[in-house]
Amino acid sequence: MMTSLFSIFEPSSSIFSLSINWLSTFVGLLFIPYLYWAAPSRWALVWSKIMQLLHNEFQAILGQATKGSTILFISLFSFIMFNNTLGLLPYVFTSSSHLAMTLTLALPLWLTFILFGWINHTQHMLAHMVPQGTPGLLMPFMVLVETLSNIIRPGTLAVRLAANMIAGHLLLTLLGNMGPSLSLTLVSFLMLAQILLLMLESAVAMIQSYVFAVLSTLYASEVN
Amino acid sequence: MAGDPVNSSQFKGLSRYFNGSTLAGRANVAKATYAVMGLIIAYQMLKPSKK
Repeated sequence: MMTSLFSIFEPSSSIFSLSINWLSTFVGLLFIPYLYWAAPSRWALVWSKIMQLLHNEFQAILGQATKGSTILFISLFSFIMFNNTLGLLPYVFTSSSHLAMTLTLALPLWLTFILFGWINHTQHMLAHMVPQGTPGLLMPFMVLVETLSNIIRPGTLAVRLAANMIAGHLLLTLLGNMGPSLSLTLVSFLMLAQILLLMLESAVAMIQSYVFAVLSTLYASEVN
Repeated sequence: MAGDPVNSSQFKGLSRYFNGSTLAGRANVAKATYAVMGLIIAYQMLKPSKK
């Protein structure tokens, strides 16, 4: 029974008062293909193709000096993508629609970059506060703006992901709840709209995971 | 992110230390801005309150 509009987001399954809904976070790990056999399967080939594509993208952002660093961001992308896309299935809990989850990913990442950057490359981080070529009078203002934008980065990363997931699911739920009260003709249009929305949400799920990973990579590249 | 290397000898006077082109110049501008903001905040906190 839906007690409120947002009750679809509440973890409601529990054993001995433990919310087991959050276990859906790890279901995505089961989709990663095994490289057990000598000849890879079709899914394994697709997976390694995607990973190679992402590795090239992130390597371009991070630079050649940071070999091996892309694995963190590729893993982040995979983790968020599985959470987002599996959440579109009926009755699957979308853990990435909760700030508790997205902040857990964004805050430690940002904090490590900030701490490492300001402790080890202080001059470099200070210089980053003023974009190169800024006119003289604008420089102090730019320092304040860049400082503020740095501070809100974990918040924006987390809220962007959570809000996108919530918005899509909410829209699907709202439209779905209208179904029983509509005539046959209108329900047909509603079903078409739901299918189109679901296609949009699948795209948003993958795009948001990519955006999260790419922005994290950008923030990491600014530190060096 | 660093952009083209800039010849710092082209800057004369105060702009040698505070400019928007060299790494040191940009860092000094940021330090000065933070120092001024710190002083303003310290003044606001330490000034005697009006009764």
